Amino acid sequence: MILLSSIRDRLIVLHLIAVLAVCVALPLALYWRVDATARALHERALREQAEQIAGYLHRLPDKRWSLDLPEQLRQLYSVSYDRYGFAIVRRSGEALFSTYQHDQPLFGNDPHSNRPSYFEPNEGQARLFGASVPVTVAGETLWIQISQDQAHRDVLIDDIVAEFLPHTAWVIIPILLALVCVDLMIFGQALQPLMRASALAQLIGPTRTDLRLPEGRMPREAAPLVRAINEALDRLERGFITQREFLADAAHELRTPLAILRAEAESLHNREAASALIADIEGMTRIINQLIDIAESDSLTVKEDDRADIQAICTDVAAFLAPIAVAQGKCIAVSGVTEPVCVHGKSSALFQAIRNLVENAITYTAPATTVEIVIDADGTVVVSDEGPGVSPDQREAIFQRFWRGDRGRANGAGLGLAIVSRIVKAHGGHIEVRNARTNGAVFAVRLPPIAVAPGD
Amino acid sequence: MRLLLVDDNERLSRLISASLAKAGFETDVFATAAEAAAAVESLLYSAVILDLGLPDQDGLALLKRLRASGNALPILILTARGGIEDRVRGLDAGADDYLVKPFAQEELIARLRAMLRRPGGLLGGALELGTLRLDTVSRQVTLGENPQFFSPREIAVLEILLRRSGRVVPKKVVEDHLFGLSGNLQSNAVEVYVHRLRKQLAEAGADVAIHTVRGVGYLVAQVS
Repeated sequence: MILLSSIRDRLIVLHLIAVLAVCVALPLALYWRVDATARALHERALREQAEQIAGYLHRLPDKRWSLDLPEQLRQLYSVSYDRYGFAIVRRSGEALFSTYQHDQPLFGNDPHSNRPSYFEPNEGQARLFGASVPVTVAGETLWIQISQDQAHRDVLIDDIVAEFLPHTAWVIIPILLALVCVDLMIFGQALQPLMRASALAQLIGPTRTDLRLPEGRMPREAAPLVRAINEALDRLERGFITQREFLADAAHELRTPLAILRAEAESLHNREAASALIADIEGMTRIINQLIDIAESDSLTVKEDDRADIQAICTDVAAFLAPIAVAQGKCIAVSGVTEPVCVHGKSSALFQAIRNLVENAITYTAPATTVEIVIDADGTVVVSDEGPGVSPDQREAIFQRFWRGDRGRANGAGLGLAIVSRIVKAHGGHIEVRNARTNGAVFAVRLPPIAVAPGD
Repeated sequence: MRLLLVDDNERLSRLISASLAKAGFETDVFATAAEAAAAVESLLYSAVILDLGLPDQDGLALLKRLRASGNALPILILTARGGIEDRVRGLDAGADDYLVKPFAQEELIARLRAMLRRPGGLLGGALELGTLRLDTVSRQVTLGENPQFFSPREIAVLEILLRRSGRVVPKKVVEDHLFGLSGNLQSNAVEVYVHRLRKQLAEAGADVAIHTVRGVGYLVAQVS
């Protein structure tokens, strides 16, 4: 049973064992019952025959007994017919009348029994079946014994019994197999809430801490487990939220001291030292912004009805970052579709993703070159730079947090592309990087198309 | 010109006041929303720099209260909350501008000036960037001491760019601004004006340049 880890399998195996046992026991029980019934019918028939004979038995005034059987009965009990025999026996064991003329009882019966008794003696080759029935005629108790050759028992009853096992009993097996099939469906039905709950549980992770298993339609036996799991998930979610809030709060808290530091640095008289300090502060500011982005992207959940205009987002990012690019002697350009492009997603998160992607491109593109953002009508965004590109063996690694390659390190944290990847994944999209034919890296963000709801 | 700075961080407030003083602004500093509200009622300020995380009340609540009472004072939010939603919430609540900590003092001053120069603002007169100066009343452009001659539409383009110097002005905004001035506008009109402005500024050896962010808009910035 340990090998069967599935409740369904266990139920099926146990059920099959039970069905097999029923397959054996039920025909046996039925056979036994049918046989007993057939026997009772025989006994009754013999008893009635005995009583019939008793009806023709009289005591004459001279105390002698007379048996005046009609011709039909005499034929039935004749030796030549050789099927039935009878004897009328007194308490003393002396036979008054007998088929066989030798004044012997057919079988020795208990002279004190007032109830019919039955016998199954062997006589020569023939198996006999007999009954001894006490009757009272003219104040004296006599035993009328009837015997029947087993070979000539009532054909109909015997056939039913004989045919029962090989023919009728087999009907039970397909019925039971059908029962097993129906039960399989019932098990499936009964386990469906559990299966649905497990499918849902598959989705629960750091990004979907809000999901809970449905308790409503759960079987009563499984409900306590499901409730306990949901409560555990509640506690985990609180822990997750606390952690995320801590990260975001800590990062926010650092912004004010950094602002003080920057103001102090800007008021220094040594311009050279000041600009070096300010560059460092800007690096730290970037890391803090990215930590906040990470905390936000970790808690990001894209709802079914979230819609964003990716064209507007790209334009906003370009406008947001152009001053930084211009300050470094670089440029940004947006091309492709100029009309709004609606995608399934969260504007603020997609803005963070595209911003980080473009910031990364600005960092790596050569001076006096342009970072191109191209928007496709299907919502795909391609960001290309004219920098050193990404070598094929690093194309997976650059999306890892705190990746320490050349590309990730320049801005300190190496968080930017991890944030992009995280946000794109939360949207069910994917990001890929390749190198341009000439030089530079090309990042493509593909978002899943909006499923058109019926009636839209 | 008197500014009100509402921030509960004493050191940062002192540093900001010092650099604002260098730029010619006098600054009153208060650490709580209650004190700030009382100050706004009793004194005439040119603009307010408002931190959102105040000890007694959220800065946004103070902002909403001021706007609800009909106060049109230019207000710049200076905060550690940098999310897009925070920005939108701040601007929706009636802030004129939004700056996230840490920031460059220069940027704070530039934004304050831009805010005060907005139509109806207190710095009506001139827009300046580097040695470039545009008198918004007389419509005169000078580079240092030398007057520069531009058509009224070119000056209109330069004005809207200078009002938001250091930031990208969407092409649509420039077009709408020009459309408001005249009737119809050719599709490439803005490009033509920008091209002429750029050419003349370069020939005159200006220390400012107009950058094109293709597909988005234009940006005027000082050449470093």
